[in-house]
Amino acid sequence: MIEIKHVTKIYGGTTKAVDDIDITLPTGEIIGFIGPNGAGKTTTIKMITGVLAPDEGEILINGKNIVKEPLEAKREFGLVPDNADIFLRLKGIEYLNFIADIYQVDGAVRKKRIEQLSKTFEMESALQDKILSYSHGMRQKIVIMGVLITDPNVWILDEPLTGLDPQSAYSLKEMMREHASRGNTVFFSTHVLEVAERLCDKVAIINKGKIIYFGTLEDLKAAHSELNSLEDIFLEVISHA
Amino acid sequence: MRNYIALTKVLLKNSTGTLSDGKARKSWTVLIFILLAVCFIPLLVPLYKFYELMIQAYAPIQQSGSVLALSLYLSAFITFFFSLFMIPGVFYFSRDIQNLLYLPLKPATILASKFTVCLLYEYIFEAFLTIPAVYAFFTLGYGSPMFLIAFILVFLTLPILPLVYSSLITMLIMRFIPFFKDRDKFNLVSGFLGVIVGVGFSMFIQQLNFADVTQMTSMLMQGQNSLIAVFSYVFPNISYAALACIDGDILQLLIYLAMVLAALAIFLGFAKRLYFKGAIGISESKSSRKRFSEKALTKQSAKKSVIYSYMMKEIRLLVRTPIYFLNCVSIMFLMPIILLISFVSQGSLDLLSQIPSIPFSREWIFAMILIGCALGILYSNMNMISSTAISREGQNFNFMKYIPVSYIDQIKAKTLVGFLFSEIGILILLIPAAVLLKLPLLYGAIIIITSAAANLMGNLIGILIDIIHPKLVWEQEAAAVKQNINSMIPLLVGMALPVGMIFLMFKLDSDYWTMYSILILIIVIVLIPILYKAADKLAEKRFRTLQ
Repeated sequence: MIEIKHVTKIYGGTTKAVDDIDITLPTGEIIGFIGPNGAGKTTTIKMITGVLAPDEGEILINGKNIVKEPLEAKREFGLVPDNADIFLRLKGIEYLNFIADIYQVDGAVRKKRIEQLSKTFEMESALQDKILSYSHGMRQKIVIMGVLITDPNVWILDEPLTGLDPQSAYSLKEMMREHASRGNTVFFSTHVLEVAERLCDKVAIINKGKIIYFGTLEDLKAAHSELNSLEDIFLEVISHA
Repeated sequence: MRNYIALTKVLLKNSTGTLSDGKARKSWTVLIFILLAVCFIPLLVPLYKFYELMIQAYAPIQQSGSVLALSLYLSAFITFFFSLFMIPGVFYFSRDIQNLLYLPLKPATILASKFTVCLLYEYIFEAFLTIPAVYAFFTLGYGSPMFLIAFILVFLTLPILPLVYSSLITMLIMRFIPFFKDRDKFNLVSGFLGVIVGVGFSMFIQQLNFADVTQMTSMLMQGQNSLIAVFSYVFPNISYAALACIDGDILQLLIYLAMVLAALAIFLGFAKRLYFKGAIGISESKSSRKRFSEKALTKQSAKKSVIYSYMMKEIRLLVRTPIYFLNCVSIMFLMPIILLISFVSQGSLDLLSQIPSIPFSREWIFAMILIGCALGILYSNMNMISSTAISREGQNFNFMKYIPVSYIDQIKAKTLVGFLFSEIGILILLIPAAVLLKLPLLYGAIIIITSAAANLMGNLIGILIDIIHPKLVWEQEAAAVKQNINSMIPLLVGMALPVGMIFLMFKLDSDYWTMYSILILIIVIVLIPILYKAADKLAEKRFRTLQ
């Protein structure tokens, strides 16, 4: 569970990138984070993961405060960042083992997970090569595998489907569903409304730093029954923010 | 021309941006430059004294111009040597190449812009070597307004020829030897190439200076700064530059400038024909696409400690990134090898054998403590590993913030990597030196122990500087190490301090060596925990505001 309590982030003393966000992302659900560019999605994710400190409010991950107990809170989640170009001169296997060492994953367990994940994402023959030689999609896959190998309780994914081939995207979506169904939290940002529609139990729509809707898509559609598509509803909602 | 100016501006902005947030930048930059200037002073004074002495000695035989030529030559040689390591990275292996190749830019424009950026960075080293000489000329009354004007023009254009040399060598290699297009192989071979070029060059120069004593003497007897001609073999424009300054001779200045322009024209001509063919397809790393064997996977997947794994990650990135390998790793191992080979090649081993071995006495035991401390400080700062440890993270810096590893553990791992490479470098220097100088075993042991302490201290200072002000916004890896003020400060202090320490030791009566070396060792030992605590506290504070 992620509890975001009245969180505000101000840049340069004046610009409110995030303005008094107060939501709780429950366990057992997939929550989509939607908003136009510059709405405050990345800033919010950075605050949840401890990259940025909130100016006001607090964030708890499974009850652990990301500012006051950073190491304990960080052990609760795995992050797929928006940029998959990370440690490009490490080999795929070296990257996975490095991440597994950081999270102190047992040798036998990680071996089993590496085998499973590399099969799922069709990366068996790429793990011996440097990440530098990977395509964009393969880089995205190795970063996702890096998170899944540690099996964290909370998954935070920033645009995780970008660059993935259809088969890997399908596998990841299935894994997200399965992870949530086991009573865990999956929180991911996306620009693709269709993905949110098909995958999410709930969506949080953010614009100009404020959460303007948090709930199920069914409720959202019911509230805007006069509009035909999710795209129209989204545009309508953010235009009134 | 418009493209050239626009691109140069962009490349300069990319390589000089030192902060991720735009605030406090000006005051910080001013502070850094003041600090740099202060660091320079201990190095500049002995250099100035050396030039002053040389000018006074050579003036009666009308050879004082050779002193200026010497300083210009030294500057040109150092520019050439270091640019051999820098040019391949900047021209071919930097991250921006892939973005520049598809723009409608001529190859000569791209290279001219990159060349200009390199040129601007060379001015720092050039200023260090030439300004004390010019200052000495003026204080001794040999200066004139024309001298100054000519020198300013020479100063601005002096690094061009050595940079053209290394650019041409690089372009030819990258165009005609496909082997070098693989970055990893390039790492390995360029290290050896550096040794060969460095040693070859030093041997050539030593031959020029000492091979023909008769010719040298006759040159001296001729007066009129004829010794300057000695320097014209490798960099033919330098003698004209020196004479232009000394005599205020406009014709010599024009000849010098014409030669620089000719070199530039040759460079642009080569760039036009060779650059694209050499650069295309270079950034792709080869892949084997081999599957794992069960045994290999089990072996690689064994659980390791966080610090060990983090250190291995750092070492792999340092060794596999060409720019980091050339600037932080290979440079450590090249210096002692060059020293050793040049000793052997010049028959200096005979000379060495005639040097009385260092006596085994109480004073010298304490002198070894000081020598160890000096070596530790020099080596810990020379490789720039710790002083760029945070900067090298660049856009991956956030990774340090979201993983469940404390900042101090990450800093510990990074510092230990710097320490490890520095200590290996010290051992590579120490072992042959101990054999050649017949050092007693105890002396060697003292040097190893005390150098380790000073090495740790030096690495902690380096990382502390980088924690305070890491350069995280960069496009090409060269900017994180070569064009990073954080690495320049420890580099200069790390060179000046050991020289000063040893200089002071020989100035003191040997009765005081005990007290002096113990004092230095105590300072080193006391500073280690203080710096460690400071790194811990500062990282918590600074990293909160950085992203």
